[in-house]
Amino acid sequence: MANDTLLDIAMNHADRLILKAQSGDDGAFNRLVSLWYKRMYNYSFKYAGSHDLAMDITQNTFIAVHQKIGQLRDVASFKSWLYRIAINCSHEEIRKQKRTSGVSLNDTIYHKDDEHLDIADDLRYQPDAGLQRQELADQIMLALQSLSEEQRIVVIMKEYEALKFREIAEALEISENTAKSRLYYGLKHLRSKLAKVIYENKMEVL
Amino acid sequence: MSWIPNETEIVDYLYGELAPDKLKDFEEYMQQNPDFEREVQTLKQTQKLLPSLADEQVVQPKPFILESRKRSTLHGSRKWLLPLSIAASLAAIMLAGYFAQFSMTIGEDGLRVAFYNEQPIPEAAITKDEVQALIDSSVRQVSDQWQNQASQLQVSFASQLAHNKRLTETEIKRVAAMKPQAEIDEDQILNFIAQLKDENKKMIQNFYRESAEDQQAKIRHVLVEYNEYLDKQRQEDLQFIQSNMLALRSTSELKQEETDKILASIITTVNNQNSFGE
Repeated sequence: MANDTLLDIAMNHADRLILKAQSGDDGAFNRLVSLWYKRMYNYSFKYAGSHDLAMDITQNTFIAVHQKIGQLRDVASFKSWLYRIAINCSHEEIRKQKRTSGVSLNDTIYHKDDEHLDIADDLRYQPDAGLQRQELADQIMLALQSLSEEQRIVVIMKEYEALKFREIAEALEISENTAKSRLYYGLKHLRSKLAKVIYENKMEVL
Repeated sequence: MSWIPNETEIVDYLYGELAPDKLKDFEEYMQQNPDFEREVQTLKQTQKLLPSLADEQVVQPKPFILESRKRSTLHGSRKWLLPLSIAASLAAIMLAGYFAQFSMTIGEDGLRVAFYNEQPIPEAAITKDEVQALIDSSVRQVSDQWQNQASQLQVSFASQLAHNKRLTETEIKRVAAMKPQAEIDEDQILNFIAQLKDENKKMIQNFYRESAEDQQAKIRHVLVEYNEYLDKQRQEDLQFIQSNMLALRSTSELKQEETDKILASIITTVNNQNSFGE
């Protein structure tokens, strides 16, 4: 079809892979994994705040997808179905982590440059120095980890995974309004956590 | 104005999903309520800051599923899958052959397989005539050896015959000398001659049998060598074809992987653009 956009072609390609994977084609399943692996890893990493946990969650997600892909009725809802499985695997993995180390679901696991948590109280803090790109990313990561799990999932899905509100609602099995509400409070919380960063970077009002 | 935007509508505004009629009211409300406007703007600033946390690069362990699974399917019997996959494989091979300009021709000099532009076949290290010449030479060599042996045997045979003749003559002389002393039984002489004939006959039979066996062994040896040479040539041809097929498959897989990566990138990028554009 001459009028197909690149996205149409890509989505058709992905849909065909899903159908093949459903009929037992492991090659197609492997290619489907390669299409979504980076996204699943990054979702898991931002959710769990740990590379090792993210790897485990991603692997478990695709194992579950492999086992359940035959149950997927509507190929069009694959994306939200995939994220729903990722959410469940994330819960399970964090629960395991909690059992073994006593970490709360809402506790911060992200340890990279932990001193930034108390950066405002740090006497060495220099407002004029400005944050390097990696430092800024670390700050945001820490702020994300400080969100409640419900808010964190919605913020990651909307801001980093670019899901539509309908897809977020499907993945979490909640209403769209509930998803929006969680996002609103999530953003508010992030704003308070990142207030100094916003000030530091002299961000202009859009 | 009695309408006050709720959190859902604020989010809709932030993500550009507010309906046009509500958008006007929203903006009016912001103008009239500076505190509200400040709150919305700080939320926008936060939104603007979030993309600074970029995607992590990750290496996917491959392949994810190693073994072919066998599980029940919701789509009924898969008996048709085998012939279909064979047909698809053949089609893929034909397609790959088409793109790789695969050609196979049968000419006077045998089967020719080529990928991309057919290169003229370099002069073979050994031609058919040369092979024939080699065989002829080998057979000639064997024949010469056989003739040498035959002549040696002939000489030996002649000397043996001469020896036997001498022995016979000596014996006849001895018998003749003995004649006056005793009557020689004619039967004994005939037996003696018959014995000599038998010995000569056996000797000639052995000579021919050994020669024939020797010749057969030599010819068998030549044929085995020629067969080994043909086998070696065939193996080299097969290895050449196999290495080309492997290279072709490797290229196809690489292209497929690149395509998948590009498509994955397109899905993410265009989705992002669509999402932020909404």
